[in-house]
Amino acid sequence: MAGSAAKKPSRLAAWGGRLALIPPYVWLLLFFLAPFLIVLRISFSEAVIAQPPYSPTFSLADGFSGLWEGLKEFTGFNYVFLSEDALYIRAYASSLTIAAISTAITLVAGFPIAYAMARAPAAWRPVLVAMVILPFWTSFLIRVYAWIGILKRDGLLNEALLALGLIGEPLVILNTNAAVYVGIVYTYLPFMILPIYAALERQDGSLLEAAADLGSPPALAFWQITVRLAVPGILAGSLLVFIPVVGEFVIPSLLGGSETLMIGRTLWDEFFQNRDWPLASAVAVLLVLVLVVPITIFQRAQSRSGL
Amino acid sequence: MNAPAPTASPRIPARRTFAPWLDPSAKPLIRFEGVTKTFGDTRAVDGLSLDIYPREFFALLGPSGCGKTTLMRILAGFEAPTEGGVSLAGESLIDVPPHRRPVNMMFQSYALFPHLSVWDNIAFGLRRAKLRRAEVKARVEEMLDLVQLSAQARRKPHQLSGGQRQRVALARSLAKRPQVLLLDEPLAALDKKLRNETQFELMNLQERIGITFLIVTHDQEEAMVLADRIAIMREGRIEQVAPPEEIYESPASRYVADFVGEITFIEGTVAAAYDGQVSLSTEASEHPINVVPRTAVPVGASASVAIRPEKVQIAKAGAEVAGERNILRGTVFDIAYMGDYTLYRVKTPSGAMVEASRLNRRRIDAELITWDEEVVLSFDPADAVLLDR
Repeated sequence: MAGSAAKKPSRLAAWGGRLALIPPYVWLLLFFLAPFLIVLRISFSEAVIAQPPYSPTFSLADGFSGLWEGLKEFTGFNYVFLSEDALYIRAYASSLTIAAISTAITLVAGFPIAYAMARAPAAWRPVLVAMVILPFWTSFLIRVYAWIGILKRDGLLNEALLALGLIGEPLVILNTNAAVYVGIVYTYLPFMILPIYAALERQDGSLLEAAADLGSPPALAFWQITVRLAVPGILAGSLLVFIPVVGEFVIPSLLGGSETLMIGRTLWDEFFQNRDWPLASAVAVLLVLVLVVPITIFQRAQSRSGL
Repeated sequence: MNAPAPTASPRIPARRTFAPWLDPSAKPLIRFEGVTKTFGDTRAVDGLSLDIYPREFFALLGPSGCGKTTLMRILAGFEAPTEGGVSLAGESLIDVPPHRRPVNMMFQSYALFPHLSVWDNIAFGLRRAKLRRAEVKARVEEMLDLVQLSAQARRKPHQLSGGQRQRVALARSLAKRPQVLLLDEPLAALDKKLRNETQFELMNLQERIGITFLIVTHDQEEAMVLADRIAIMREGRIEQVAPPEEIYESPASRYVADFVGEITFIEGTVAAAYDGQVSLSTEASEHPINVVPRTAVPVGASASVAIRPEKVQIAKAGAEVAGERNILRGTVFDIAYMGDYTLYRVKTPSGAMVEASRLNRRRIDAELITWDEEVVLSFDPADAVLLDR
């Protein structure tokens, strides 16, 4: 009797737990999986001048035979084209390179900031976190536009450097890869700082003392304990920067020049300039596949560290 | 000026054969000389001097904020003294950074490295010591054996129980064979039963490996069980340094008497002194109370008689009291049944409370004393301590 009475609430709680899992799955199904399947389906189609601009299209009126006829028209042509045209391969490679370098720069710049925040007096920390988040109160687009004003030929930066006598004539920064890096690092730095800060902030200070007590000089103890235990935060921050930067479109469009080749821009051009939806979809599908690799590595690392 | 001369009171026979502090030729291992540490306006440690001898198990006991942890951290090197000197085996430690001190600490939080296995946690310090691989392995295995954790060597700290973590922390701090092991509230996180077992394990371990142990604790029982000598600290100073039995039976001050164990203070005025005894008149009793003082006390001085509950005999009113015992009368106000003994709080006619305890030697008490019952309390003059008010 007592046993069954005790079981009832726990069974109810288990059901409650399962119910709580439903919304995220529904969300992912509706807003990730379904759109992805639509894009995947278009990527196997052919571009036509029509509305919608691809074929085959399916209609319920055609019945099963119509569906079968349509399926037979599916083609892997777009993927073959992507692999044959060097432009796309270069765009992917260039995007990955820019993302990797940007991630490295944000890490090098973000770790000391996060460390200083985590070591600041406890009363200051919420203020410092708020200051890191503060830029998000202004639209991302406006902030990137602001960088044009700073970086252009007669912009703030050049005028300041000229006034200080550091340069003789204005530097060409805008519409180069350098401007793209400036924009990316500026925009994505908070995504690197916050996870690292979270990892550093909860570190037990006595661990560093224990390392010192056991014979580690301060620099070694910092590496063995502070950095090592921040690895989950470093990984999370790196992914939060790397993944969106690979597909970044706005920053290379506004700050980059003709030399800046990024897959996000290529995708945009295919979609809106060439109206080649199937090829653009293939570019997008391939991009997702490229990004699945680092995410999987991250997941592995997360579960292995057990922190 | 803080600590009285370290001589055993003649009334407390030396139970220990190990007593280097009584030997004038013995050289201390650790020496604090006039150490002061201030944090802003507070003096955490205040002009403190203390010698600790090789192989000693020494306890710093006091309430939180008394400076005991700061003193230990000064020895570990995590805090630098504002004034004064610290030396180990005759060498000053002041300019030696923590990672070069031959001292290891077991942290209150254990501070186990969460990303390392038990094995790697214990090996951590050995690897810094540039030992050969085979030697590291042998030493880690010896330590695992010592704390009986060989089976858990590959586990991470979060996969261990509290008691196991405590043992990993102990093994890690012992692995480098430090000259001094510092233990910061080592048993605070364990439940009572495990704490009692671990106390004895620690004691035996210390005897076996012969390392000097310095323990910081606020738990007087822990200090009494473990230590050869205890320093009672108060506001950055030492009130008394002595073996546990002397701390308990001959407290140097009212503070020490009150901090360690249960005690009743009976306030009075010295009325007469004769035959090595003094006689006090008090409000608590119509009879004068006789005490054997440690030092001469002038007639007319106000003083307190301090008496431990287990030294006070309790009997129903009207019972015969043998010999020249001090007598107090009152009614039972509170009874605390503790299982092994019962503590009675007795209210005297003056309103003062006196505590008496009685061992429950039999399951059924033939002479049950109950609430509001009139009782007579008595104690031997030699069992009370005379203290300044």
